[in-house]
Amino acid sequence: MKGNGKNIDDSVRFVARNYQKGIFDPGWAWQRLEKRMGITPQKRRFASFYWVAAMVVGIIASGVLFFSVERTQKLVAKVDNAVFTLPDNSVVNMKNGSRLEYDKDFGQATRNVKMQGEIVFEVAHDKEKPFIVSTPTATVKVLGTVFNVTGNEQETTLDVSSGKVLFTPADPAISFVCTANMSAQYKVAEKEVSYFSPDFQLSVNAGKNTLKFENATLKDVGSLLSQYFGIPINIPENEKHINFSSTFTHKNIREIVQIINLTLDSHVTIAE
Amino acid sequence: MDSLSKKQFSEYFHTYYRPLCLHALHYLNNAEEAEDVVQETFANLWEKLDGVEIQSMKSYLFSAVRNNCLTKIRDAKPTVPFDQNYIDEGMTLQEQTERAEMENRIWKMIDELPERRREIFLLAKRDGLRYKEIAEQTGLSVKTVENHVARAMQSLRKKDINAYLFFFA
Repeated sequence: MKGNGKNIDDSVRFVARNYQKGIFDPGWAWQRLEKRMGITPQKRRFASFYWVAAMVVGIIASGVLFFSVERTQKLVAKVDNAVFTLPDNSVVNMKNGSRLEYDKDFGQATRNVKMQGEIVFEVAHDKEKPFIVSTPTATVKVLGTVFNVTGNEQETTLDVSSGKVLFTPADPAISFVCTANMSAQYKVAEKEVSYFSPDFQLSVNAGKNTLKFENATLKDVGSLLSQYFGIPINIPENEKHINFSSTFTHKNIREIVQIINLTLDSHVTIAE
Repeated sequence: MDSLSKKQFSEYFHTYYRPLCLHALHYLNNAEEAEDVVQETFANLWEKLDGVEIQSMKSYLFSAVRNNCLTKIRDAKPTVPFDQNYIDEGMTLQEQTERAEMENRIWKMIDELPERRREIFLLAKRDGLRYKEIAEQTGLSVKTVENHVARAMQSLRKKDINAYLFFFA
């Protein structure tokens, strides 16, 4: 570049003359380009409950009217294994027909996506902003890395390949941190959520009021019980890793704790 | 694709997309067409990446965009011969690249200005209005307008575009 002032002044005027908010945006352009790689991004005007709520809050907070309708970025996979990079550099691999939605502020303060279908997520590391995937029936909060979610109106399943993922079904809202090789399955109609690995299983069927534990540690049993009954359960530190198997139907928390203690000679208590 | 991973490709895209659009804009004078050419260049690159090794991606991209722009101009007006030197404004590809990168920084600075200040800055630099005219149009005092433009130019300087800018505030 001939480093004289005239060129720079020309450049400032050139840019000012051509400047338009939102054009030449690499993020949007990248999505357009990715269309050619098997994914169809669609711009869509969006006015769901959430956005209406956000706008109302915005108006109250700033006293300014919003001119533009907020937009959601929506992706639909047209082929199997459609790969797409999200603005935070997380990579999704989508099965044909799967849908993914995120708002245009994705990655700035939060990392929330909504999905339907089957998608493998490779989540970029960011401790400050957890990556949250919502299906119509459950929420998955990512604490680690690679996992697969299948979700629709009837059920959601999760398979974790590596890292840690917090799974929370809609009802019963019993969360569990799933680690490598663990799966979670939630069936809406049965109100049943199961967490399992090759070694153990925990299931809650809120419809039939049944709790099932197979080779589960007391720590995990306690976590499930306290969430299901809404009461904190105390387990002595040295008993947390004892394994327990049993199925309870229509039992109250007192009965269950009593049975556990009788079976294992343990000292589990209910915090009151 | 062996020679370049998708991640690297995405990095090149995000780094050079806007400078390349500005580069193309000098030829085409139309933002939409400029974006199309850059998109096309990246799409072609993606398709033929297999087994192709590119030594300097940056100079490859800038020269490919230039060539695609020239083809586009030629195809649009096949009967009018064009003088490439005139279009290139006597600049080498290297100079054009540096200009595009500087313009990218200016663009970013304008993008980051607060709404009101951006509006005033554009009235001054895009429309060439005097401070007094801007003041009349916006209902602000001349002093406030002057202040806004000065601060915008300050942001430019902070971005370390070039000390020369100082003299054009």
